[in-house]
Amino acid sequence: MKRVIGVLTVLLVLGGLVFAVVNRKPGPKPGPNDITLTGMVGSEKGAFFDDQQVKDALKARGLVVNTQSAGSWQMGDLKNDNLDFVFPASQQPAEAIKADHNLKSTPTRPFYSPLVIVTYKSTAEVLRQNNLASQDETSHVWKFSMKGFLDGVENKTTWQKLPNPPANEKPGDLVGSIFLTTTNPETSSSGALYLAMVSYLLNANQVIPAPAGVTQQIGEKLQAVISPQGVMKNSTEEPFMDFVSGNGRPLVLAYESQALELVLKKKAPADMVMLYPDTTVVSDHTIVAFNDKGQRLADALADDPALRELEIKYGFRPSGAAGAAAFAAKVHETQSSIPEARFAFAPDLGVAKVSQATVPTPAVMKQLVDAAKAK
Amino acid sequence: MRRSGVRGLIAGLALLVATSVAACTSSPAPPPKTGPSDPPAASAQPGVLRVLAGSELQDLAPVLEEAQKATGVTVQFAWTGSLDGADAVSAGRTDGKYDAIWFPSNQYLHLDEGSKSKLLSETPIMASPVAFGIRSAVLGDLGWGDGSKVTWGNLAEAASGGKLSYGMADPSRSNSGFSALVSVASAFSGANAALTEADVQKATPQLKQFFTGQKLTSGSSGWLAQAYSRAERGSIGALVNYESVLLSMNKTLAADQQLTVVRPTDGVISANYPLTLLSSSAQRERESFQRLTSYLLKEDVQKRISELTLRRPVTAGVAPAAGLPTDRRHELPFPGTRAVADGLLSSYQNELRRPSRTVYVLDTSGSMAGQRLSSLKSAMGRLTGADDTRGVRRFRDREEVTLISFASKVKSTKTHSVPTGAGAQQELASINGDVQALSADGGTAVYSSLQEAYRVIQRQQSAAGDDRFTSIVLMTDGESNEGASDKDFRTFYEGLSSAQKATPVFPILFGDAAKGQLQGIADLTGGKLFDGTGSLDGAFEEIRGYQ
Repeated sequence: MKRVIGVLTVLLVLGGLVFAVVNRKPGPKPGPNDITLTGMVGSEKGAFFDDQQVKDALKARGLVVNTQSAGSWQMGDLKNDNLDFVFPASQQPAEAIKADHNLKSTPTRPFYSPLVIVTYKSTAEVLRQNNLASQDETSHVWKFSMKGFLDGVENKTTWQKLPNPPANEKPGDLVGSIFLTTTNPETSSSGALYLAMVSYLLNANQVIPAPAGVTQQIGEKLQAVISPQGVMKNSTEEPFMDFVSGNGRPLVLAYESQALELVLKKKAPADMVMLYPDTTVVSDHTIVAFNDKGQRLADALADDPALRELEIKYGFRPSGAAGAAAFAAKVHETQSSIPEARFAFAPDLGVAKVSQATVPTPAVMKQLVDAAKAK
Repeated sequence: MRRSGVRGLIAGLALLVATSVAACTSSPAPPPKTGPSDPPAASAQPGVLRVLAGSELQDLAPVLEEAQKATGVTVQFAWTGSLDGADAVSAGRTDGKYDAIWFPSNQYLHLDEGSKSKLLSETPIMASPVAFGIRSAVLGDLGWGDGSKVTWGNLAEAASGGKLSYGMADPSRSNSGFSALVSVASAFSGANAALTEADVQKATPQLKQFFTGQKLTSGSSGWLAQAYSRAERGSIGALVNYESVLLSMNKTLAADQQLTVVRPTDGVISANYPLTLLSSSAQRERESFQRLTSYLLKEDVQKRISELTLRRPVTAGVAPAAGLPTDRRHELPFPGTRAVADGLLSSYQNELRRPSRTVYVLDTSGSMAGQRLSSLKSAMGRLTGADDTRGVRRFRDREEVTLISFASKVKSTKTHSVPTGAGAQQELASINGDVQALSADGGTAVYSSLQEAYRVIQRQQSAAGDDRFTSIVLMTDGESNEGASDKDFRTFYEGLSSAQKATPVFPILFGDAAKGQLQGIADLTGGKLFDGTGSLDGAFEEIRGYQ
């Protein structure tokens, strides 16, 4: 027996070896004039940079790009040797990294995406029956009442306590406190942006101008939205993938781009619904170039029409008027091809009456994170 | 350069192959054994990703072989428990030794502030909730129909009424055990959000009832499944494990042992198996990691993973394998602080679970003199120390510990009962006193001494009339050369009552011990052989999960 296994192992090893040598995919092969760059990107952009079409479009601009994923606020802490750029999901970590590295260049925002809530149709219906969500009759866009939600947090509302529908008709997965599942605001941009959004609402729809404005009262309310979640994930891709796998967290804060990408690919879970918070916050995907190579990538992402189309394919909203028009056209085309209205997207947030919170300065952000985590 | 790459590939692939024939010992390079002390993995090699992982992932071997062919990336695993793995990362013991970690969950690891800078990126690969697998006949007796409406409260009631006996892995080591403990504590405290210390207090009486039904414990989910299969028909009615493990077990279980998966309706905790890149990894390995994760998330690969392992896919548009129910369960929050998590684990070990009766049969023959005896004293001494926040090592409150020292015959038998609360420290010190007083001389009568251990247990059980997790640890550095023979012991064991036979022996291989003899003892008694040749401390600590 021993010998048989030994021989078998050797055969497998040799077979595998031959196969591996023949079949091993070459890495991106830079041409003589191409430049190769390495950078760290938010996990929500990992698939974009992995896409062969994106690689080809970048190659057409003479760029071969290697990326690693990390949480936006982790990028500053991690060892950044040999990186040409970092590409967090919001402007604040980008500014902080720029300051840390004494960079002169201005970070570029090639595209952006508002924060939304992904949920199930059955959950959205329960929210609607309790005036926590509504659906526009003509545009079919769903909106989530942030005020109603925050009042509920204040009153420790649970799904069981919602008056409608009666207990025996509620979906079985709706149990416990009502909270949004977010990422850890210490490490991830979407978690931090959530605090920005909530603090704006708690401060009478005004951005908190200075760290001292983060009062004890605001801190306690932030804790009340964060602590029921228990331990949080480090990057936005994770809770979203958990949602896709059917994990029973009913309300997950995500980037619109994540949901839209699935809808465009016609891969969205059958009962997924997207809610726009009536006051949301926008994630400005901001690239910080450490050198000229990084700047060439930033420029390509901002002005290359082919890349712009691919950005939309991944659900991002390209910056600028041309980008907005291309995005609106794509959304319109997609929605008219989907019979059901539950995937309604709002190409123009203003028209959909979704207001946007202003994100405070990094110093205030830090104070908000510390307050939320009771540090 | 190129040659070393090819060599690396051969070694790495051999490791991967070795994992799929884990029981055989003849492969050219066996997988690195990993106890709590996780010895260093081989140094970094091109195309090889060194991954510290939970042993559950062995079932992915075929997919990883395919991944190797498609991406050129070979996964070289070293195995350890989820929580031990988290400790290794936090303490910096993975730096430079591994490129990635891969456990059922990183939730416990996230509670450690220090871990934030250690992890570069985390990508869930598949998902499975921790559930109860209930033997179909038991489900029928309890009147639970198809099991789709059962709550944690129903399970506790059945357990405390003696109608449901189950096995569960040690929550201080295993993510499945810990997830079940958090789920049940959440349900009983009425907590609608992440557990607090007050919630744990509130849930304590019901938790105690629930754990009266736990009849099997284990440091690993693999051994738990074996123990369930070999337990006397009907004595164990259920197992706590991942839905995927329970469903996979059904493929080989006898008809009357088939398990129905029950996901309690008041909530579950799911594992999402994040493949996690360590920030200590080098650029080359980061690229390998990226290639591997992209491959594993492809739709066809996700489908294959789900069909092979019965875990749920995480890539949108991929349907779960047939047989996986699609009705959703509330996902319970995992505690948000280390204090709550460790407090819950400490309560489980010292207060909530059934207490243990633990017998150590320790070889103090002449060959143990010197370094070997000091290693033994150190390894046993560690089990009496106080520095153990979540109850991984130390003898627990309420545990009865018997030390049998033997050479040509049993030299001494000393029994200690660790009290609850303040008195525990003193008793632990007294156990350590006995350990440090051991001295080495004489021959090696392994089998006679084991027989004596079974008789000691019988006397203790009939005197106390109690209900404890009962087990024997055998540590020897040589071959049995005096007293009863292998055959005598076999006859002795066959003559025991079925209750006595349920006591497993966990032998530890050490020094010049006869591996065949020890493996035979483990197989006969339903125990498990541990290797103490690398780290005796590690072996003694690992066994704590089974006691």
